[in-house]
Amino acid sequence: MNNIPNYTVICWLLFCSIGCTVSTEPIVYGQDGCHYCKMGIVDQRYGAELVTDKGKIMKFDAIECMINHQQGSKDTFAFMVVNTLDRPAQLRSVDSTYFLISKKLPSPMGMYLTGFSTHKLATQAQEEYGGDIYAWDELYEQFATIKRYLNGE
Amino acid sequence: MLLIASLLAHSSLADIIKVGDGHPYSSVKEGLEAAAPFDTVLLADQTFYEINLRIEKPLTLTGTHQSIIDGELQDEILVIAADSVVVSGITIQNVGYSFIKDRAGIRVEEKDYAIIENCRLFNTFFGIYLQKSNHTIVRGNLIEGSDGSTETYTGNAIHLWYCEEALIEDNITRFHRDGIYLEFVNHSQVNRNVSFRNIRYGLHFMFSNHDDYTGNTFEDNGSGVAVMFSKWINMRHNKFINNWGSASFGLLLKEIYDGELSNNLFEDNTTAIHAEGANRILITQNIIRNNGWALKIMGNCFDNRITKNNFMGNNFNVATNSRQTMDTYEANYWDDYSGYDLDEDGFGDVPHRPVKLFAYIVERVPISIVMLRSLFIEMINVAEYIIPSLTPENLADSIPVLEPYQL
Repeated sequence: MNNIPNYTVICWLLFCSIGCTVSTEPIVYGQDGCHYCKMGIVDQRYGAELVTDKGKIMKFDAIECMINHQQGSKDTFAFMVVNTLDRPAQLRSVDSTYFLISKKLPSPMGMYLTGFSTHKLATQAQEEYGGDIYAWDELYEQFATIKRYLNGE
Repeated sequence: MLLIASLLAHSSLADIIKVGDGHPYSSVKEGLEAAAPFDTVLLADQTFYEINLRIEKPLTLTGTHQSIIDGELQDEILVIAADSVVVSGITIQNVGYSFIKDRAGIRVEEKDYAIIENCRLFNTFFGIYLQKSNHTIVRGNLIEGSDGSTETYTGNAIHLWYCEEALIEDNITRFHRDGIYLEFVNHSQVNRNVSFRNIRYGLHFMFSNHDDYTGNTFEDNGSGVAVMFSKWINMRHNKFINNWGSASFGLLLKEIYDGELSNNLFEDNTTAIHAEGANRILITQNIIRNNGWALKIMGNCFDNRITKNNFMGNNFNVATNSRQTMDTYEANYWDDYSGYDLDEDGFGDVPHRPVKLFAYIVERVPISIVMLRSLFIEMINVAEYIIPSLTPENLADSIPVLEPYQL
């Protein structure tokens, strides 16, 4: 009988250690749904994921959905990761990703926004398809403007 | 006489170009090059291994289902680059997937009046891809991706991008990403198609207006149909069946205005209808039965009318995340209505409030679903029904009917 409190303590510790792990998790394409637009996530080139400081994971079918969510949210994020055109199904940090907005490359939610893992690849695509390259900070700050521009306003 | 003579002269101009072993032209490419405008290119019953075939004249390309053009998993196969091209009756197969280019079995490239009918497309990444093409008919085709059980990377079976006045009817699609995908497509009709076992949606509207879909069946897809960021969409006489999964819906309505959803059947879906930012939609004469949730309607929905529907055998009839509703519920049949009809006019004498407290709790704390069917839950449901304190006060059907409608 004396052991019972110990088990309770262990259980609580286990529970906490599971609950408090803050990390990304792979997107299950074809099963997971977008947190923002509710669409199923299927395109391995355009997925995105946010993990809050508290460890809550949100997955998105497009980078534009992730930014739309972020800009309407008060959370702070431990991880912001996206898929890229050149490395489908792999998630990489937005800080080391280059973003191309080109009318020739439609993305799932109509923002023509594609990630690339290197600046060189982004430039190559830009030469082929046209458009503008953004680093993450630029993209995030100018997002509303870009959206208005794409909507023809 | 002159008219007849000129017609005869014209018809004699349209030749039949036979292509295949033992015919003057052995490859489709040669046949297409040799053909004059309005000729018919007739393929023999054999397999042609060719890719990137461009049709640059108005002509008819036809054959039988044994007339096969096989791309050997390389680039795309048929590109229609002229107005008024007809492709009928042939089989197109094996287009390799690409992460850079949306390759298709048959692509219509910014040209109008194409007709694609009675073709069969197997394992073509994207099946039929219409880009900036108007007045197109896609009819009676069978479009199958590679078996969806292993390959999640596939395109849409019928994909329309910036099109006007398309007619998509009597097609069968399966094992693709979306069965039918419409982005920036207006004034178009989608009728009597069957979409099943597609990975994402049976039918998917994005930024499309003034479209109708009627008489289609959507079964066993990731989700049945998604109508998103669209206006004036009419949805009638369709079947939404067996779309199961935590992120699955029979019908997803997201940012949609001024449509009609009538005479449809929703059966065996996790959530039959999920509405978010749906406005001024008339939802009437639908049968919604045996689903987990019949209608999930979020607080940002306004001025929808839900009337004369049958709600039967669902775990939850209506769920919402809001205490207010701006929608109207009227004269529906609710199988969990426990009121009475003393004046025998066919309508219940006390209003029915279809949102159970538990539905409200599950919406807030999803994990509480494990308590479904517990005695405790039944007790709080009854308590809430009698004295509403958390569920939306004004979400009530003031004249529920006592007998289901014959629909």
